[in-house]
Amino acid sequence: MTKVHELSGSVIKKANAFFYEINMEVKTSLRYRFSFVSDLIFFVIFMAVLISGNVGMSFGVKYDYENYKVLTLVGYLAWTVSVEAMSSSTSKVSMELTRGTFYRKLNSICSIQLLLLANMISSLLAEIIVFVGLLLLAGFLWQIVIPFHLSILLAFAFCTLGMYGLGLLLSGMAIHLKRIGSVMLLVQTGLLFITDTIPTSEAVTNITKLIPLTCCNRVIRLCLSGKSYFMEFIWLIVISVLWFAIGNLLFKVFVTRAKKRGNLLHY
Amino acid sequence: MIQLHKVSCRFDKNYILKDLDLDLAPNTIHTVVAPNGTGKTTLFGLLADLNIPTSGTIDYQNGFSKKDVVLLLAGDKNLYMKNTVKENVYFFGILRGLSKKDIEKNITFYKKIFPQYDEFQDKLTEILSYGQKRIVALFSAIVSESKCIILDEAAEGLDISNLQVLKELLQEAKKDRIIILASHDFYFCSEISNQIYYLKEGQIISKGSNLTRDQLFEEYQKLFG
Repeated sequence: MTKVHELSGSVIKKANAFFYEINMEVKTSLRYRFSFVSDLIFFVIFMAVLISGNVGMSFGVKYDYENYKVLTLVGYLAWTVSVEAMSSSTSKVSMELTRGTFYRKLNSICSIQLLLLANMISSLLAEIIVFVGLLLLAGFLWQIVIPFHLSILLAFAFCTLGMYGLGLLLSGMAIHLKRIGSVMLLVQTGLLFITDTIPTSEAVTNITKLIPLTCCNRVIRLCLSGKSYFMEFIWLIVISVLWFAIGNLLFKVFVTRAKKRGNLLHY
Repeated sequence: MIQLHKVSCRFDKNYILKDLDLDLAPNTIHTVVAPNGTGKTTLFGLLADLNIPTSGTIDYQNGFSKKDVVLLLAGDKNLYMKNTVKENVYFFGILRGLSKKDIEKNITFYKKIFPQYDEFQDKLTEILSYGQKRIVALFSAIVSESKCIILDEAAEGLDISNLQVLKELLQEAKKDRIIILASHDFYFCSEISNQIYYLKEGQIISKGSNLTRDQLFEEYQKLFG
């Protein structure tokens, strides 16, 4: 009975730490209000380039769906969420190592990976404000309205989890190799072209279906065009959970290596 | 109690610490005195589990564990600048597994030494002065019940009033805790420290208890010229 009590106490303490991390980050985001405006401007301009260039036209043929702009926008949103999920932990780790707060978190009651997950959730919560703005503008400017499907939300959730795992791997590299800003930029931009966010050849997507974002793009577009997506959804879940596990494991390995090499304290 | 036994730490081919023995008892302020680049930060990193020794052992005994060690780096770091002082203090307490009630109780207790907390608590950390940030970082570590607090370059950049608050906080905090400092300020070291260790070539080559400023300086001159 005492052990059960201790265990539930420990879970509550970890949950407190997890939710307080979200709380701290949301407050920080709200104090950088201009970033919402700059993000929205960037996203709208980028979307305008995609739409005016008829970039996603081939999606209409591929998925036999008339409104290809919806398929383009939804892929663009998935890419945005994925990039945020991936880069939030990497930039957070680099920033905290520089600021000296990482060391205080490393000895916390809650694992650093869980705290980074909380940080990612807070980043996505802040991003929702930008998304709402983007969706409203997309409806107003280009008459694009994305129909609501629970499956799309679930696909986004699993994709986020998988991309977070990939982000943990990159965070581990950031600890080990220190400056990976340019690698991050390359990966983020590369994802746009290889994950079918903008039309990508099948030869490429056959390889990149190991990336959760590629699977997510496929699932949400099949769902919107009314086709069967069961097998693709299962694949998305498997790949995302796998990346989550791999990311966690390799992050730990990188932290241990950094402790051995003295990288943590000399960041 | 934390015991280091024949601890060596090597990065690439260079030994930073070599066969270092050190006993760190609670209720004591331990100060490591050494010129720059002699391995103080590496030693602190080992204690806080941020480095892994190449050989030797570090034993955490009598209720102390790796997780109880907090390392406060030199400079105006260790805090979240876009959050308020109160948010920071609560956050680090919650990260240590404390309830809000416990944190509140601790704040009330230690506020007697740091009454400016009431004035600072709703301010963003970024607007505090360098010295105030240092004090807030230490305050957050004490309130969060860290059993071993390491303060690198403890007195660096503090004015007289902040230095006084720092001393009082450390004197109060050392009860049941291990406090470890590094400082180049011999006046401060002699006033505050119970144990002084001189670190040279990766080893503790000399130590002394409750040294006066002159004794401390004399020994330093003898060892490091």
